Amino acid sequence: MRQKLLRKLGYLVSEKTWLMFGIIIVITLVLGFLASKLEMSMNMTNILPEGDPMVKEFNYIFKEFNGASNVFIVVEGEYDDMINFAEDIPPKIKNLGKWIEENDNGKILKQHNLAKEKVKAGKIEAINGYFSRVDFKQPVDFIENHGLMLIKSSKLKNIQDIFTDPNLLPFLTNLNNSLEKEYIQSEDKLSTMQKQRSAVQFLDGIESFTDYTKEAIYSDEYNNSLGKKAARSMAIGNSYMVSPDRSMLIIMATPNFNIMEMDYVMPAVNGLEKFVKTEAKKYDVQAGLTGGVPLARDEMASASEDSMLLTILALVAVLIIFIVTFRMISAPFFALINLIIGIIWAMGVSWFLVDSLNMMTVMMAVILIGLGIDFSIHIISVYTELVNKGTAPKSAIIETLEKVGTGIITGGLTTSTAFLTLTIARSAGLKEFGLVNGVGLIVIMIATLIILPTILMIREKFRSKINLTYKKNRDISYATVGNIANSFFTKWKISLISLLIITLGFGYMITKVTMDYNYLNMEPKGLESIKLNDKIIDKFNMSADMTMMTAKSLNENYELTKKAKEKSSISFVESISDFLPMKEEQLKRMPKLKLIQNTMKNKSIKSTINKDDWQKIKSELFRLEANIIEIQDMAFMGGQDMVDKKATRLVGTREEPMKGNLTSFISRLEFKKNDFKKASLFNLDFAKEYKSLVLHMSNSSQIQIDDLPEIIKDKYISKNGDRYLLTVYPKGNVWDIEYLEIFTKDVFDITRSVSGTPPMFYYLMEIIGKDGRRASLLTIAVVFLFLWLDFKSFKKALIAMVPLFIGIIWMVGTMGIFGIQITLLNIMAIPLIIGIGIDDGVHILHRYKIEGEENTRKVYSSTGKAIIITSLTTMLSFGSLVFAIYRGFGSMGLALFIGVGMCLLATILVLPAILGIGFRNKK
Amino acid sequence: MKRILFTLLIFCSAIFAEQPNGSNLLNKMIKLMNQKNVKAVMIQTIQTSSGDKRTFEYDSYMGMSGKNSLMRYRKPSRVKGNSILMTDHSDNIWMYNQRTRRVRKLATHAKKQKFEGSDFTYEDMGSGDSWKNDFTPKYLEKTKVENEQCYKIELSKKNKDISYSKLICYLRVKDFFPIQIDYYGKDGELLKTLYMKNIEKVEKILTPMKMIMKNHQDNTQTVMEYKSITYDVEFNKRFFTENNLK
Repeated sequence: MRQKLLRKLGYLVSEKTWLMFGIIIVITLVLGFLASKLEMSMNMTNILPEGDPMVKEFNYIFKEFNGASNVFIVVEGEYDDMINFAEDIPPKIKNLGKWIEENDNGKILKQHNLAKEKVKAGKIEAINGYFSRVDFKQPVDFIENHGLMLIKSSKLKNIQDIFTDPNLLPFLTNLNNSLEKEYIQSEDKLSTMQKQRSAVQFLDGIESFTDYTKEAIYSDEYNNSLGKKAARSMAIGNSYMVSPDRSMLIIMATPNFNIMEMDYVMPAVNGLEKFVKTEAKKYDVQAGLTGGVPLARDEMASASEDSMLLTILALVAVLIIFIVTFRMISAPFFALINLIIGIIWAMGVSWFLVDSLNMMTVMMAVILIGLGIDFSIHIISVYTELVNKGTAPKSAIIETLEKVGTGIITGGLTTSTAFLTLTIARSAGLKEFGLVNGVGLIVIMIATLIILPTILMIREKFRSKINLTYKKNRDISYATVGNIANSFFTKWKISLISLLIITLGFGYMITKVTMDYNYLNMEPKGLESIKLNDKIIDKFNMSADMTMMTAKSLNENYELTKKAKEKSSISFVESISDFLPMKEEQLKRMPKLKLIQNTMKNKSIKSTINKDDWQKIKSELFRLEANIIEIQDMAFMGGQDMVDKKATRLVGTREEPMKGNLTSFISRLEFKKNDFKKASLFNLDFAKEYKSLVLHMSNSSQIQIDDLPEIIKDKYISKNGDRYLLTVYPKGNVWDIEYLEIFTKDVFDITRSVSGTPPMFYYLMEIIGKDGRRASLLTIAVVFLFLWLDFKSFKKALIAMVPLFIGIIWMVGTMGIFGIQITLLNIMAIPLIIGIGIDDGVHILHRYKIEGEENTRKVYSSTGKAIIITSLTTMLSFGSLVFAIYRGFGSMGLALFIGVGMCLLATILVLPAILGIGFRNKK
Repeated sequence: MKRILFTLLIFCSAIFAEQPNGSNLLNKMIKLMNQKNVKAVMIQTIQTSSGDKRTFEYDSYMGMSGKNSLMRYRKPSRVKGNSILMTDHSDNIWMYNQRTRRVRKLATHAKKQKFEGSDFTYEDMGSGDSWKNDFTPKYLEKTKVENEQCYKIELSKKNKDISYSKLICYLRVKDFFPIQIDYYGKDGELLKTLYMKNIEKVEKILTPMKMIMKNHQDNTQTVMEYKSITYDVEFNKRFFTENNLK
C-alpha cells in the first residue's frame, strides 16, 4: 500500500512537476499566513493543565482585583533623593502612554502603536492606561485618623504609655518602658518575619526622631519643622517602603493588563523602564524594574531573539554538515529550502493545534530542523547515487521514493510517536510541546516526500536545458566505521566485556550528577530584573514573587492572615486586616484608646526645659541607647538580621559605636545654655504635633468597611464585593527549589485557594516530573511495540532498544563527568532521546535484514554513514541551543547533543557486539 | 541430655528475660544524658533570617543534672561576655549584656521560645531530668537507626505546659544512649529532630560531641559541638545566680 502510494507520488512529481510546484506554492502561502498568526506567550499559566484551579484563581483575581500582578520599581540612592523621586513620579506613570508618544521614537513607540492598532482592529481589549495604580506609601490620612486602632491589643498594652504624654522627657521615659516591655523581656517579639518587620519600623521611627532631634539641637539656627517631623516619625512611622538601611525604596505599579497580554506587556514594561531610568537621573538615584511582569518581558524578549537566531544557526550548521559529508553544494541548498518550507507548513498546521507557542513549544523550529533534515538526507543520498549511476532523473525520483520512502515513513512515525506520547501529559505545556512537534514532524515528513522531489525535478529541467551532465560519483562511504563495527562484531566477547566496564563507569558517574535547584540559572545571564529581585531579598528579606489568595468573608480573611503571619517562610502579608481589624478586636482596643485619648487630652505642654530636665532627658537617651543595644545583641544572637542591621544604624557596634546615629548624638550632648533654649523650642513643636496626632490616632470609633479609603478597598476588595485579597511575599528566593518547596507547603497549609508564580511554578515542576516519567515509559512501550511490528520479531525489537538504553546511561554519565547538572529543562531531554536515539539502531537492523548479519562492514560503511550524518545534523541543530540567551534552552540543547551522540556511539559499538553473539550462536 | 537441658535453659531465659520497659529506658536515657555537673566549651552554628550561617562559641556550665545552666559567650567579639542563666529547668532566664552591663530577666513564657536563634528552645536546653514528670514513656519496638539496633520509645505529654505533644526517642540497644529524638507538635506534625553524633567516652561518660537539631518546618538546622568538656567539676551555691552573670 505504502509502496503504491509512494510510486504514485513519484510519478506525479516527475510528470506533473509544475502542477506540483503550483500546489506547493499555494499550500506554503496559506500555511505561511497561518504561521505568521502564531503568537508567543512565556507565561506559566499557559503551560499548566487546562482548567487548573490555580489558573482559574489567577484569572479570577485579575478580573476582580487590581493587583494580580505587580511591577516593582526599585530605587537606590540617598534617602531624601529616593523620597523625592517616589513622591514625584507616580502621577506620570499613570500617563505612561503619553510619555512614550512624546519621548520615544523607536522600538517602544512601535510596540505602543501596535497595541493601539490592535485595539482599533478589535484584536485586543482596550485598557485605560497601562497602570491602574502606583503604591509607594501607606495611606497616611487613614493612619492619622485610626492609627492606634490598628495596633494589636497585646502590643498596645506594652506600648500604650508612649501615647500618654507628649513632652519630651516623659515621652522618652515611656518609650524606654515600652521597649523594655515589648522587646527586651521577650525574645518572642522578634520570632517571626512579621514581628521583625514591626520592630524595624519601630526602630526606624526612633532613627528619624534621633536625626531630627540632633539637627534641632546642633544646628545654628533652630528649624521649627523639625519637632513636627520628629513627632510624625514617632507616631506614624515611616510611611514609605524603604529598606531598613534606607538605601533602597520600592514603588509598586499595578498594570491594567494581564501578564499574558504580551501586546501590552512589551510597550508598558519597556516604556516604564525607559521612563524610570530617565527620571532617576534627574533625582540622582538609580532605578530599575523587577517582579513577574518585567521577568516575563525579559523571557519573552530573549526567547524571541533566541528562536530566530538559533533557527538560522541550526540551518547553517546543518548546511555545513551536508556540504562537508556529501561534498555537494546544490543538493544541500535544495534540502534546506525543502526544510524551510516544511517548517512553515508545520508552523501553519500548529496554528490549528494551539493558540500560541508557549515557553516549551517556542523552540519547535530548532527541533524540527534537527529531526526534519534526516528525511532529506535519505532522499538526496539515494537520488544522487542513482543519477550518478546513469538512471534517468524521472526514474531516479520514483525509485528513490520507493527505496527510502518506507524507511522515512517508519522513522518519522517512530520519532513523532515519541513526541505524541507527551500528549498524555497533564501539563498543557508538555502536551502542546508533544503535539506541535509530533504533528510538525509528520508534516515535514510529508512535505519532504512532496517538495524535495519536486525541487529536484525542477533542477533537472534546468540542467537539461543547459545540457549539464553528472560527473562520476566519488566513493564517499565510511569504510572506517565499517571496520570498527566489524571488529566489535567479530571480537564480541572482549568488546562486550570492555563495553560493560565502560557502561559501569558511566553508571557510576551518574551518581555524581547533581540537580540544579535554582531556576534562575535557566534565565538569561545578567538580567536586571533578576539582579534587583536578589537585592530586594537582601535588603528587605522579601521577594517580589508574590502569591495571592482570596477569602470569601472577612472572618476567613482574618483567619488566613493570622495563619500566614505565623509561617516562617513568609516575609510579609498584605491584607485588608491591616486596615480593618476584627470587630471583637476593635471592641477590645476601644477602652485602651479612650484611656489614651483622655490621658493625652489632659496633658499640658511644657514651654521650657531646664537643666534638671535636660539631665534627665540625657539619661533617658542613654537608657534608650542601652535598650537598643540589647535588642541589637538579641537580634544578632537570634539571627534576626533585619533588626540587627537597623539597630546598628542607631547604636553602631562594640568596635565602632560612633557609627550609630543615636550613640554619636548622645556622646556629644553637653549642657550649653543655647541647647536648653533649642531643646525647649523643639519640645514645644514636638509635643504640640505629637499630642494632636495621638488625639486623632486614638479615635476609638469602630472602623467600618466604608471608612476605608478607596485605594485600600480597590486593592483588597473584589469588584463584586464578595471576596478579599491577601498577598503574601516569600522570605527567600522562590527560584531556589528547596526554599520553594517549603514556601509552597506553607502557602498550601494556609489555603488551597492560591495563585501566583511560586505555587504555580512548584506545581508545574511536580507535574512535569510526573508527566516526564509517564511519557518516558509510554514512549518506551510504544516504540518497542512499533519495532516489534516492524521487525515482526520480539528479539530484534529488544536488540534495537539496547543501544538506546546504553546511550542514555552514557549520556547521563557524561553529564556527571563534565559536571553538567540536571535542570528543569534538560530533564525533558530523556523522553526525547528515547524517540530520537532509537532511529540509529532501527536503520542498522533494517540494513542487516537486507545485507545479512555477516556483512557488518558493508552495513556500517553505508548505513553507518547515513546514521552519522543524520546524528550530526541533529546534534548540531540541538547544539545550537547552547548559544541561547535563555539558558534553559541551552541546558536542554547540551543534554540532547550529548544524548544523540552517545546513542550513535552505542549503535556503532554495542549493537555489532550484541549481534556478534547471535551470529556466533547461529554458527 | 546436657545439651538439651542447656538449650531449654537458653530458651526459657529468652522467654522470661526482662522485656524492655518504657520507664526503665527513659530513666536510663536521662541518667546518661544528664550528668550531675558539666563544664564545656561549645560551638553553636545557627542559620540567620537571611539564610547565612553564624557561629558562636561559649562556655557552658550545667549543674544539678541539668536543672541549672549558665552560658557565657566567647566569640564572636560582638557578643563576647554576654551571658545567659537558666534555673529551675529554664523557668527562670536572665540575660547579661556586656556592652550595657545590664542584667535582664526574661518573661516566664520565654521558656518556649527559641534559644538564641537556634532550633533549640530554652525548654530543650534545660529539660534535664524533668522529662520524667512531663512525659509518659512507652516502649514501642526494636528498630535500626543508622545501622544501630535501637529501642524506640514514645514519650507522650502529661504536663500541659510542655510544647510538644510527644517525643520519639531511639536508644542504642548496646548502651541505651539516645541517637535520635523526634519532636512532634500539637497536631501530631513532626517539628524537629535531634541527632546525636560522634558519641565518645569522655571521662568514662558517653558524650555526643556533636548535636544537630533539624527543624522540619523551617528547613533550618542548628549544630552544637563540644570543643572541650569535663564532668569532673563542682559548682558552689552562688554559681548559678544573677551575680555570677557579669
